[in-house]
Amino acid sequence: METMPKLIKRAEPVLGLTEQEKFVLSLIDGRTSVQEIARTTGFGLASAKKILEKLKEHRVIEFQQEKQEHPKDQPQEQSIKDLYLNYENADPHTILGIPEGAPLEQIKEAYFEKTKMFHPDSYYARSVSPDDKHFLVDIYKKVQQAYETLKNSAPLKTAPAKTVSSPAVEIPKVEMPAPAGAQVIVQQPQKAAIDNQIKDNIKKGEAHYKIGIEAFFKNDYAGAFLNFKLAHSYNPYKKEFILKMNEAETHMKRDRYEDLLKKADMSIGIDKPADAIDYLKTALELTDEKKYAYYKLALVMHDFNQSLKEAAKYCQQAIVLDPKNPDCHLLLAKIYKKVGLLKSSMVEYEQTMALGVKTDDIKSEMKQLKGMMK
Amino acid sequence: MGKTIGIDLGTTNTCVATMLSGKPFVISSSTGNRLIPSYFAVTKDEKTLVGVRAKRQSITNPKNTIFAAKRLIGRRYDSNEIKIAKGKVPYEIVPGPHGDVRVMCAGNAISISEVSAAILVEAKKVAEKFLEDEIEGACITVPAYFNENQRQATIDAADIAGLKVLRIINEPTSSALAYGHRRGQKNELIAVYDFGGGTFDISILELGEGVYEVLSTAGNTYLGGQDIDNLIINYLLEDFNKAQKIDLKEDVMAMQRLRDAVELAKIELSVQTEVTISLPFLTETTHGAVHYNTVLTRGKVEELMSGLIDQTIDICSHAIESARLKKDDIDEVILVGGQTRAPLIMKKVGEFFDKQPNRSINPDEVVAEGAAIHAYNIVSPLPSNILVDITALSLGIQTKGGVFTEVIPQNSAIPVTKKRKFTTTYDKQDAVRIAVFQGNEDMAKDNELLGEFVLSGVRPAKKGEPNIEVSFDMNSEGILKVTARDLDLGTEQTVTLEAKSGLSDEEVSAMRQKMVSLELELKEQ
Repeated sequence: METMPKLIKRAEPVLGLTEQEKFVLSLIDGRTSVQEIARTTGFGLASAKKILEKLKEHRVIEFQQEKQEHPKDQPQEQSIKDLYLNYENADPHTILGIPEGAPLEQIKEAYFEKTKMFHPDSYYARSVSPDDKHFLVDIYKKVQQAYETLKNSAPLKTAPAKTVSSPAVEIPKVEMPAPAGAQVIVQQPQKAAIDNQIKDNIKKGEAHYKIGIEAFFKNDYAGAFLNFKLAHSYNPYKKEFILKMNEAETHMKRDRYEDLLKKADMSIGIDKPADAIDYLKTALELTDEKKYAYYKLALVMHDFNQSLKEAAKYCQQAIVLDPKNPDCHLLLAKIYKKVGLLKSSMVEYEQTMALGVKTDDIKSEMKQLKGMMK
Repeated sequence: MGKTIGIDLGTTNTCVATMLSGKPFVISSSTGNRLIPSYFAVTKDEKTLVGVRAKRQSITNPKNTIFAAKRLIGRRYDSNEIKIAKGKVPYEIVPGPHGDVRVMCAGNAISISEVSAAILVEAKKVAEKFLEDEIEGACITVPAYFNENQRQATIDAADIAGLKVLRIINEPTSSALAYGHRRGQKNELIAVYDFGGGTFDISILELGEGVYEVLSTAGNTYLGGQDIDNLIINYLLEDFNKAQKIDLKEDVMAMQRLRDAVELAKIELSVQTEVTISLPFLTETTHGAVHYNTVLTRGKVEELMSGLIDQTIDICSHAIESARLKKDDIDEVILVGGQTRAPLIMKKVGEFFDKQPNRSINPDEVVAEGAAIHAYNIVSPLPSNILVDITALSLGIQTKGGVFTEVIPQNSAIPVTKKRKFTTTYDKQDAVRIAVFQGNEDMAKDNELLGEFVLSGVRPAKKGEPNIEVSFDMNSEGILKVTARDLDLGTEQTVTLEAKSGLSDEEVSAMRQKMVSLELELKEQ
């Protein structure tokens, strides 16, 4: 029987490997065999084997003897009901198909195997009649019960029983719970499908990357970002996909930010402050240089008399980021005055003056404020 | 064929993932966010907002912004949880027509399933946009401690959102799947320590040959990151009060800003030893604006949260005990939930299990990744992984004196059938009332009522003589069938108890109609 490579470390990019080896590594998904790798990559059987041996040396993958395949000649079609009758009154050992006195490990192994056959998840995607489903669920419950009974009474240490090759009790002949018609699903075609998919994905990744580069040079950063991201998702092992993706994202965000500011200005021009505010808030999310957006938001809200409390909050944020900007202080003073916080307003006017802006308007405003406070 | 996705519908954030080239992949929104805040709001001009946009305006529109809906979903209005929640949230909670819970949003009473549906619609939109394909079905995760009604309400939410639910899976199981998928097939025992925003739970699982068997689950539904936040907030409030003689508790806006600042500070303290909290213009008095500046140290926060962490460790040893294991049997400890980034949690968990917790997967995304793996897996004709889940809550009936007698015990693998014999309490009693409850409390009234029915035609005899067999049958979709039978006469009564989310089928389809228009609206945003 051929060997099956198993992947232990799949997420970490492995250091010290050649491109070829990394490529092979990206193809392995726990079900592929040497032959398939050779077929997919076109490296030839011998070199594929060599690479896998080296990967094994690096402790990236491990080989495991593949379990005995199901006999080529499938057992006679057995109805699910007959199958259930086999289980109905059987004792726990017979249900799990293990000899009496079997050690815990063997019980578990048998239980895992039966669970894979009969648990409802295992035939979710197959068309099974409601009657058959009922029987299958009942079989699974029997398996579960048998396991619970045996688990708690099993000898803890591995007994020599593990090497017993033929079970003492007759095991019901069940290979697959698949009903008539569903039996055609054997592993081989699926494996090939997976291989094709991987091959396809790598191709798709390269294609998206190419489109992304083109878009990038046309300054279409959103398009570039999407394509790099898709490329990355198809082939997560290529570092340049990630690097390009991040670069495009930065550009895209900046573009969108500028675009949104323009749109906000246009909305103000056509007297639609609510839209402008929405654009500005979105812009705020996209940039690290937030002080301008904060100030602009406060300004729009103030000029159009939209929720002044919120305006005050944004203006305060702008001041926190840029304390020496007289425009911000002046705006906050105006907002405070409108809400009726006269004392705070006065403080802000004074701040504005202190920063060097001493227009007549401000002076007259302050005079008016003093009058109001009295 | 459409694509499948996994959704972690969280208390504070929602995360959506899919499978690409055989690996789980977290999908980010067009603005690059990998988490969707679980927020829903209606603005003054009656615009519906979901996710980031809803969270952004929550400070200025607290009454019409719904968050933490997960704490309310599937609950009855008169339950204890709702009474507690009422004091904690700024929005109004009102009773629905079937004793269920609704929230007031811009003058309309909205069901919780609808709120969750809107968040699912947003998640669906993000996924469809990325995959450029229709979504065929989704696995949605819930806490292990969700009862049947809460699960059903979550399924209703998905129905309203137009999402086909492939399976509802438990969050810890999902995390284990994501871990196992990365690790490759290996036989081992793992513990999933999940400290989320609102709840804590621990699950012990056995992995073998692609089968994930949950051995036990334990937890506390009232213990989460938010409780740590509250402890820090109270400490800061006191500090502020001492310095300024101002009580901030009534100031909704200041409290919200303080809450946000604490959340950020807490996250920062995972990497730094101290952090400055700076809240200019926190509040206003007649003397002008009041600012707040203080330094919060990791030591102080650890001192505050240490008691809560010790509680979780006690629950861990309880879970190991009910799995009939010892601490050193555990091969791997996985941390889930953003709160587990706190160094103190890593230290205490590491000390308890006597091994370094595994931090290889992003604790915010691991649950969604597992759900994506399972969704992909379940629609394939030969699934490579099988989840054997358990009931975290016991199922049983009410017996003499209001005592809860369990029929399906806690930590039973599902699907499952269990039988138990009961008898009459009075002479010549010819009918018995079977009231089915779910929960881990000793008295029936402290558990969740799933439904009740009457078995009539019992042989009239002296009390204690008749033999009545009650059988509980739970299938893998979590639907419970209860049968009561008089063994002497053979009279039988079977009832399929479908969990009640508080919504009728008609209501769900009416809400679905409404949601379609929101879907279109969100697509334009």
